[in-house]
Amino acid sequence: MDTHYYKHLWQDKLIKEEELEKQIDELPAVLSKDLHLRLDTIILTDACTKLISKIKNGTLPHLEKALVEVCHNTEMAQNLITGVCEFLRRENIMMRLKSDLGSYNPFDLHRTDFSKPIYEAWKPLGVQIHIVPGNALQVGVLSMLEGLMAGNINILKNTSRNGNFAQLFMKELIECDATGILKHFIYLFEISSKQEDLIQKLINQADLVTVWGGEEAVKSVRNMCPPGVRVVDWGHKISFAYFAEKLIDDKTSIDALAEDICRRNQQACTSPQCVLVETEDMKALDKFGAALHQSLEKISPLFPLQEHSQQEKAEITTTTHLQKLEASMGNGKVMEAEDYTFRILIDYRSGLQPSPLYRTIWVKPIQRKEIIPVLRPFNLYLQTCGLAANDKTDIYELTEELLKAGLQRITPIGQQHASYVGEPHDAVYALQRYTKRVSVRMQANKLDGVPSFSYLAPDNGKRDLSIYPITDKTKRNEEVNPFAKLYLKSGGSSGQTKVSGYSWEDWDSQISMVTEAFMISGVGPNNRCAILYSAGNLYGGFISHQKALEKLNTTVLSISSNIDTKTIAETLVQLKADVVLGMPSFLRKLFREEYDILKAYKGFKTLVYGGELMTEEQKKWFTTEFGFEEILSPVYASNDALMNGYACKFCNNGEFHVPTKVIDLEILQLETQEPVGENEVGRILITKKSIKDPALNRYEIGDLGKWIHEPCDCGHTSPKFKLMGRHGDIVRCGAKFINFREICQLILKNTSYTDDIQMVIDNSSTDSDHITLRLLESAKGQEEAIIKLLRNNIKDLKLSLDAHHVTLEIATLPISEFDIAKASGKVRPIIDNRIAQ
Amino acid sequence: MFTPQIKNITPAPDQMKNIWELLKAYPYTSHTTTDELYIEAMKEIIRFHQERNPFYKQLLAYNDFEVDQLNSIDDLSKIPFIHANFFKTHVVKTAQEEDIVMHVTSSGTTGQKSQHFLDTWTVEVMQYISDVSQQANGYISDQPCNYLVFNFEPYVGFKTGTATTNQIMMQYAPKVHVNYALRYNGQKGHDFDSFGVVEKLIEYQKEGLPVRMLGFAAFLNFSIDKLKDMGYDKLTLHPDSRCLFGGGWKGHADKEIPKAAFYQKIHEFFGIPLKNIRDKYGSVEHPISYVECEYHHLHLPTYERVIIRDVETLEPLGFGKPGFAQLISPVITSMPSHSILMGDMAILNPGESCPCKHETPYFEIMGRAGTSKNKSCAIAASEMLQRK
Repeated sequence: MDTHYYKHLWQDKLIKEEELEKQIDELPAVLSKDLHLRLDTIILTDACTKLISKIKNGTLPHLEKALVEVCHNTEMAQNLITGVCEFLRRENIMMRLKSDLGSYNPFDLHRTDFSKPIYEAWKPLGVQIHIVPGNALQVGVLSMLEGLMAGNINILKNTSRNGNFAQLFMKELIECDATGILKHFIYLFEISSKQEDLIQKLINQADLVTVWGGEEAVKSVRNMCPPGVRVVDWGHKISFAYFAEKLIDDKTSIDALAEDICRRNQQACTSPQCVLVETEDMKALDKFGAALHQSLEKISPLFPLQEHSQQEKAEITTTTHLQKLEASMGNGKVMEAEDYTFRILIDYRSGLQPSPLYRTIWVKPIQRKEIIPVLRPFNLYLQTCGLAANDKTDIYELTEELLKAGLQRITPIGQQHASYVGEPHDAVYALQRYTKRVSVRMQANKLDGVPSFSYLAPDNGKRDLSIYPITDKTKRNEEVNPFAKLYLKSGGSSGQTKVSGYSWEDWDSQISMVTEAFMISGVGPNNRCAILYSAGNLYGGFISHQKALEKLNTTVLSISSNIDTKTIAETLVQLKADVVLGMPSFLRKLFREEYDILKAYKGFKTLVYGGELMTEEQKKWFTTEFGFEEILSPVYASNDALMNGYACKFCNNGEFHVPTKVIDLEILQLETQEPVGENEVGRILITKKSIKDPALNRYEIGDLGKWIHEPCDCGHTSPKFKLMGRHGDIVRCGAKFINFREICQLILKNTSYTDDIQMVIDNSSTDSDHITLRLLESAKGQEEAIIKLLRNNIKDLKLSLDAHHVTLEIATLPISEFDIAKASGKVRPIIDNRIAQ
Repeated sequence: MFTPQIKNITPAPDQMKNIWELLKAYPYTSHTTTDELYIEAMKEIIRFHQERNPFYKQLLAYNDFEVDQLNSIDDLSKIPFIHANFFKTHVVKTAQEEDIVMHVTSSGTTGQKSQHFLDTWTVEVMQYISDVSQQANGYISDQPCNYLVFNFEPYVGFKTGTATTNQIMMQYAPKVHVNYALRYNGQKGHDFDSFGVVEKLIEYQKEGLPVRMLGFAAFLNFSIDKLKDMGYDKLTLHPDSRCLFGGGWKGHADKEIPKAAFYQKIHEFFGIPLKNIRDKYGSVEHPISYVECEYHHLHLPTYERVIIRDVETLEPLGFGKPGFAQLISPVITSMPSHSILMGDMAILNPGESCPCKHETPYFEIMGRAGTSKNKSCAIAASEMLQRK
């Protein structure tokens, strides 16, 4: 084992001190080359997910060891690592992107208004240098991760006092990246502040310098930066607690304050250094101090003390001694723990006072009307106020005054240290400071049908998915989504009703894709869209369209299919719908029943259908009878992964592009786990880019498809495929694979029959398989012709029939005798009644 | 050894006769020979302040201290003390306004300035102690000298303590030329005149008289660097030339080089013998000067006592352990700074540990006690630049 103590990480290689200078000299050339790379969020989150599981499994004990080397405290090291792991979780990274940059895909140049060819995005600034102080053990790692979230190439200047935890941690993160891209974004060097030449060389490469530390550190870094380099300083801050007059005797609040004083030994910028007590009565202030003393005596032993240096002790002693001199003059009181573990410095003069920390708290009086003048001298440094206030009037007044005075965060008393995902950092969203907001405008006709630039990226959909195992369908069905907030049921053409849960975040990102699919298909803000899907009863059709069209800024007529057809028809006419959206079976019923009203209307332009298929014959009926100019089915969806495909204007029936923002799609051979060859039909597998929902990797959705390799005229680079029916459509019967979809297509294309078809398969223990094709009575008289048609065109069926492995019969029946799925009212395509043999 | 002759001091009132007696002792005679006298002198000065200064009276009461608690030198640590920083926020005088002859402020490198008021007696005693200490260290000479002062050029109304001390330091050898490195710029400020310093040093060298360099060490260091940059490898001065620093590296702590290396650098560049290069410790808060001996140790004059106190408990630590330095002197009458806790950390060593002939203990200054900045992300007081 390599026991060398490595101080530097160059991409994925730990390097030795003697190599450092040479490597840094090579940096400009390497960076120039690597800056064209793009760090997709999914690459980062995949690596993070893998790293978390490695850490949780205990396979990386050296990370904890590296921390213990510097902090000498196993518990603290473990807590730090747990905190970092929490930060790394995909859902937290995604939430950060959303809160800081407003989107789960913030780096994608997208239309800010779908009707205009104006695109905006956040883009990485380029090379980000991070300068961290000593004794900031996890700050280096967290700062680097933020830089990676922003998509920058990150260079950390670490110091020896932090040990090499950050270097080892980032090395492991890179190890977890299967794409090999991540390493180009990561460099960590342990460089002393005295090595100014080296630091200058790094800074010369920077587009952005992030510096953590005090005024002096920030100033010296600023002086080294060429003009124009963005310097983001996370400087030192002061926080305090505030007691509204009504709560100054409240023991619970005082206990809570004591906890915040002890919890991190006042080592955080969020720690209270002072408590401002709303009173003019100095006896009340003394009483408050005494109560705080009692609380601290009780609470201080519950939290571990942090060892501090002679210098820090001297600072405390000096401040305490000076306050005793003040006390001798009647300006306050000093209350110390006998074992020197904490001290309370009561001062009768108002003002804010920084404390020498380590459980040293100033207690000072304040009047509400004096908040702004008292805090004014410090306003550039103010951060958190832990507020003890009870009624809404106090909370309102104090919050307003404190924020005006310069505070950035207001928390309940005792919760100054707590934070939440997506909380602004020192009053800004950090990732906005690490990125730039760019705009792109082009002539409208040049970017027609392009909602965002990711549709045009050459590497669109080229992610290597072989790193994931194929999802086991049974296990998947047992999985519970802990983030589920929206439950939807599938109509289930397979006959079974299934309820699935989604997080709002995933739902929202899926709906955004639906919106873009509509935009691509040509539906836009000028349309008046009537939504005629079934609403309520856990169905997603209506609500998904409602939300998607809202995002698209079209006019929406929220009608649904739940009311009588006459009312619907009248509303369409009255409110001048030009686009109708619904399920084919319902739309056929509506237009059949309200034929006269709708035929006379003449205002329809577009019919958008989903949920079922529509035959060419049916489409023709709508265009010729009702004047629809186009009939679209722009979205291909399933319950498991929601959005699986979108159709552009150039997609033929059944053809879709892969919406690569939310999924990746693979087509594997029917019998093996290998990708299909050219023109080969295979099983479609989906890998969902979830935000919070459980990962869905390489999941077989039951559909068949084949790739379309010719570039699409729409200009999108997203992969294009053609749906070839349900996997379940292929039934093994009569020793051959029979494709139900193929049967349907032959009948619908070559005969006058245009309605429902149902295939029933029976057997007995002795006889061959028996196929009954159920057609509506309109097919009566064509039975023989249909059998002949199928026999002549389906080679495997003919072989089977000739070999008497299978028998085929056509039955013409009224719809009432078909098997209908209870939940959706859909005709079940295949009913397999065979008993397992 | 010489016998100090008290001169130029207004005779002390009767109630300070022990102080008067103490001042007659040789400045570096062993403390044990003066302990008894010293305690009596301390009683006198404490009473002096207690009777005239309400704040001080209150302080003694707050600490339950009475002068009668002082019976021997072992009781010295019972005397209440005031932290030097206290004077940054409070003006506390014992002397009457009309008796104040000098008003000085600390050189104020960290923002807040402290104010100090000296009466005739204190000024005279301060100068007397300086004189006898310098005499005991061989600094007094009849040989005319050229002076280069690395300190603020005085102007009317200028009140910095270290500048005052430099005026005293120039009385120990006749002045030929006096030049300042920090020139008054006419706008109530001073600029370091590096070219001026270089010119004067070259002139002084040509003139060939001994040169005495006083003031902030940092600026002499910058000047040597400047001369080197300009192509001078060395600039040999008269061998009786001397350096006497004061005020430390304030404001330039990041550029500080270790004392031994710095002295060696001076020695090599100017040819000044190492024993002629000395530092001096003193402060406006407690204006008694401590001068380095030829081995570069700061011996206490026998009129002074130092207690080193633990940084956490403030318990006295004795020899060899670092802690706060409490300086105690019975001679300061204008302000209650006769027992003061300095912002510096120090170690006290017994006089025998130094090969020189001085018998009193000496102390090493270890730098500022306390933190100027926090290691954590919580801001420290000294970092916060308040709005004016």
